[in-house]
Amino acid sequence: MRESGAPSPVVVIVDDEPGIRRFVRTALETAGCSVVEAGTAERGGIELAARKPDLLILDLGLPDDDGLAVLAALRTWSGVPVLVLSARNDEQDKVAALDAGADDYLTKPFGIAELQARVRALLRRALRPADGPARIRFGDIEVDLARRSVTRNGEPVHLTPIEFKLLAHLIAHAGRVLTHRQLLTTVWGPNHVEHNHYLRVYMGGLRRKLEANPGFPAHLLTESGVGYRLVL
Amino acid sequence: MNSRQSALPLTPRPPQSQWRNYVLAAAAVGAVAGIGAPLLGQFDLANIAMLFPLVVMLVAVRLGRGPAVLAAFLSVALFDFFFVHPHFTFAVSDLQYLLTFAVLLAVALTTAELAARLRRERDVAEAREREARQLYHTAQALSAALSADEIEAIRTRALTSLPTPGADTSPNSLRETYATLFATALERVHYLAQAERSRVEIEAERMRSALLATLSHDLRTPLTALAGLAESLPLAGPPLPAAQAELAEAIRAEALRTHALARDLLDLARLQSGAITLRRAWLPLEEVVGAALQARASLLTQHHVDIELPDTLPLIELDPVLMERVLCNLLENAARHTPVGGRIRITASADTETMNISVSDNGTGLGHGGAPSGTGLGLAIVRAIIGAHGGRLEAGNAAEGGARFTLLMPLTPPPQAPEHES
Repeated sequence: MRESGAPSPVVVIVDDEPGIRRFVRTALETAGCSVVEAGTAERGGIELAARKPDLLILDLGLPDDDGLAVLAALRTWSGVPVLVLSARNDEQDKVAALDAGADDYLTKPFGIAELQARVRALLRRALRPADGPARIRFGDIEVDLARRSVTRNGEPVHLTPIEFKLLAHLIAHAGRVLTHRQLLTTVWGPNHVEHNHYLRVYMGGLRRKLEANPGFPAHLLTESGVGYRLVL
Repeated sequence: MNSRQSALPLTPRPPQSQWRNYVLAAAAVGAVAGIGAPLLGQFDLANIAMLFPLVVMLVAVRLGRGPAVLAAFLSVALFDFFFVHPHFTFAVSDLQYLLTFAVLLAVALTTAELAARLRRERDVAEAREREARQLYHTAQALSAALSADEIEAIRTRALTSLPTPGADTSPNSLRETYATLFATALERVHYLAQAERSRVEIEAERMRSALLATLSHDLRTPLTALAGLAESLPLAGPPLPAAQAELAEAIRAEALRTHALARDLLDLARLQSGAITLRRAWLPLEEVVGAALQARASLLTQHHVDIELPDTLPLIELDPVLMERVLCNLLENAARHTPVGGRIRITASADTETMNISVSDNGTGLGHGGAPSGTGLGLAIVRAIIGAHGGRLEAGNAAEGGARFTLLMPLTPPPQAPEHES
């Protein structure tokens, strides 16, 4: 997670449960981050302003304030990546957080591997915001973004313009969840945000062209009720 | 006077009172005759005759039509007997008095009729006013009534003051008015009670949802911490000896199992209380299957999973999150009852009205009871979710052995597909 020689990324975790803060700290320190803990939204606000962290991990169910309100306040002055923790079952909450500016979410209970993968994906973007590589490989697939070509085991794969646009957007946010709304707005435009089934049909098409087993995808993952995630 | 008016209750009098009126009428006429007798010398006979219509009119106003008619005839008789020559006989010497009698009788009878009509109209007006007042009081009492019992009490009270039904004096329109009044009041109380009931239900539902959400949060949070702390134990210091790492892993697994149990219990409570709203979306079944397989991938590493979903399957409208849960539970169930290396198949087919989705395995199959042991909660959740979608779960053993769970989901015409692009 850390480039050799670079300073260790600073992560602020705001959660009222000390046990969760404790294990998140252990997991992230093992991965080379320095971690600052806050038990309340108020404390979190102070730490955010003082530390200028590289990542915020925010529990949505704080005792003193709604996590969404904290997020909205933060987004007025900072673009720091935010990973939301949700104990709630309701996918609508997660979508609301993502649409309010959160970058990704984890549902409790989550494992350390999952946590580290999410943090890594968010820090990659935060620490290297410049253009990613023009050539991306995942599974048998190689995508050349500059030449707009896709090959599978060296064989060219034909993607429609919409499929390619969808794939390019997922690649640009690899490892992160993108909501239906975000994808529909980017690929089809803001007038199509209600046409969820367009997106689903095209994702199905992409999987059939790119996944070894489209019924059990390894890269183009579904986050039910929320959106999609490309895992490289 | 028409028949409807005569049907109004004119405070019916007992017979002895009727007789008293006739006696009084006769007495009044007698008294006038007595007053007139000493005046016979000083006053002209025609002027004395004028007293009789006066008494007839008073009798008509005070005592009614019958006594007035009696008074009219009695007036003529007494006038003839006491005042017209020859006195103290009914014989008449001067025939011109016959005209006087006729005029006197006609005036007296007309006066009686008119006065009696006046009196009846007064009585009718009074009776109507009484009714209106009673109706008003009843309506007022009804508007304050809060229960059907109170309305019933008011009804009993109001109807006893009405004449008995069936009698020809029974005022039907009045009864109808009362009936409408009580019906309206009952209706109002009914809807009031219904509104109150649904308000209480909504409140109870809200509290139940809030309680379940709080419980869910309060149970999940410490279990998340517990599982995470156990998992981070090997990371916190120098590498743990294998035995201790195994214990830490066992703690984590137990915490996750407890979490899943708590989640299932709370979700089932929520589903069975009907507090779940489906967030339906049109999607290819493949997507939900993929999400479920992805979510349960760690349980399925030791099994072969075959997915056989024809390309021709139509889109289906369902709640993707809940449906993923259904498939997860069925996959868990299959993984638990199938030995390592076993085979799990997911198949689907559709006609115009139904999509059949099957999860089958080559494990031990179901017992005779038709339900596998130890999976009550998971299957109850499956049943509740499928039921909420209007579908059905069939559980049985496949012909080739092993258990098979089939979901029969209703299909509706899908929305327009996105335009085809090259």
